[in-house]
Amino acid sequence: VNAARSVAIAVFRESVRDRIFYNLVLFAVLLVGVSVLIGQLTAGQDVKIIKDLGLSATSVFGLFISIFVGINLVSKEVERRSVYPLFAKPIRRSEFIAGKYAALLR
Amino acid sequence: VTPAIRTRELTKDFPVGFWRPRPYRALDRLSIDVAPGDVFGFLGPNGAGKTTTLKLLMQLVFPTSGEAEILGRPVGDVGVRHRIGYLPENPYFYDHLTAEELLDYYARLFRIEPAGRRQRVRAVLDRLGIGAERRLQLRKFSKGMLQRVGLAQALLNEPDVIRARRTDVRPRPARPSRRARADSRVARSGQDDFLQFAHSLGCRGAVQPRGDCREGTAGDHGTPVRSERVRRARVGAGGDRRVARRARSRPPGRAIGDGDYRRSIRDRHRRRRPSRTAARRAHRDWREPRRAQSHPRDLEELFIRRVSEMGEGTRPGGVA
Repeated sequence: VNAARSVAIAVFRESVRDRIFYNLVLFAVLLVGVSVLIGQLTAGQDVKIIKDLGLSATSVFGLFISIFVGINLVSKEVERRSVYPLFAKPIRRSEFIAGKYAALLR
Repeated sequence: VTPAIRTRELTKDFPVGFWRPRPYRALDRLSIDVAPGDVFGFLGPNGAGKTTTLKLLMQLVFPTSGEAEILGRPVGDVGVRHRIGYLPENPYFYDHLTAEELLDYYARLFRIEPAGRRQRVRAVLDRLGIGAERRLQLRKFSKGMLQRVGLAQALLNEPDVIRARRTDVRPRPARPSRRARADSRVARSGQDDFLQFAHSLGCRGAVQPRGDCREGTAGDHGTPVRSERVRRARVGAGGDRRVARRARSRPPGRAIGDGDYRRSIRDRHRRRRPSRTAARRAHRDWREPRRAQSHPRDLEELFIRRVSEMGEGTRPGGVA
C-alpha cells in the first residue's frame, strides 16, 4: 500500500509537470474572453448562460484530461522501459497498477 | 555459504511468430553459482541470453522452467529486492523528475524513513559527483550524467546490505561496460556485446576483484561451457607490492588508507615508525596497480579468445 502511494505521488508529479495543464490555462483564458462576448449578446440572461457554459465546459475538459493522462500511465512506462529499474525495487506489480489507478482517481 | 546468485536449469522460451507461435529458446538450462564477494563476468556472443538472464533474475520476465535464487531466496520474493541494486543497460528514468526527486521516489519504495531518505539521497549524489545538477530535470541530463544517476539509484539502498553484514555481497547486475577500448577490440572480433558484473564503480579504493571469474560463455545457447580462472591482475610497475597485496585482501570497497603505506614501509625497513614524508613518498611513487591492469581487460581477452576458439561451435549443437 505504501509503495502504491509512492507511485501515485510520482504520477501526480508527472502530470503536473506535463504540458496538459497548459491547455487548462489556455482554456480558462479563452472562456473568459468568450464570456465577455456572450454577455454582450444575451440580454439579461448573461449570468445564467455564462454559468452553464462554464460548468459544462469544466466537466467536459476534466473528462478529456483524465482520459489523456490515464491512457499513457502504464503503457508509457513499459514502452520507455522505465519499469525496469522500478520493478527492481521492492514493489509488486499489483501495487504498481494500484498506485497508477489511485493517482488517476486522485 | 549460500551463493549470492544461484540458478538451476534456468530456461526461457519466447514465442516467435504470430499465427503459429513456436518457442524460441533464449536461454537453455543455465546453472550458475555466484559466490558472495565475487565479481562475476558474464560474457557471451550476441543472443546468448545474457540480458535474458538478468531479466529473469530481476523478475522482469518469468522463466519457462528452472529456478533462480538471490541471497538464498527465490527471485519472486519481493523482500530480497531491498538488498539489490540494479542498473539497467540503457537507464531511462522519468524526464520530468529531477535527480533528487527520482532518488527520493526510489528511496520511498525502499521504505527508507523520511529523515534518513533525504540524507541518503544527498550522500549518494555526492558520492557520484552529481553537484548542483541534481535540481535539474533529467531531460536536461547528458547521457553520461544519466548513467551516473542510474548508478546512484543502484547504490541507493546500500545500507541495507551493510546491515545484513554482507558488504561484499552486492549482486548488482551492473552496467555493460562499454569502454572505447573494449568496444573497438570486441567489435573487431565480430562480437559487440560485452557485459560485466562490475563492482564498486566510480568509487576509489580497493576495488581489486578477487580475480575469480567464471566464464559462462554460451556454447550452446546459454549453457556454460566451463569455468576458467583468470589470473589476478598484476601489480603495476613501480608499485609497492605489499600495499597492493594488502589492498587486494581488503573486502571490496574499502579504501586504502595512509596507514597502509606506513605499515608497508615499516615492514620493509624494519623501522618502528616511518616518518610522514616517507609515507608520502611511498604514496607518490606507488602507482595504482588495480587500474593499471584491471580486471575487465583480462575478462575481455578471455572472452575474445574463447569465442574465437569456439568458432563455428557457437551454432546450436556445435559444442556439447
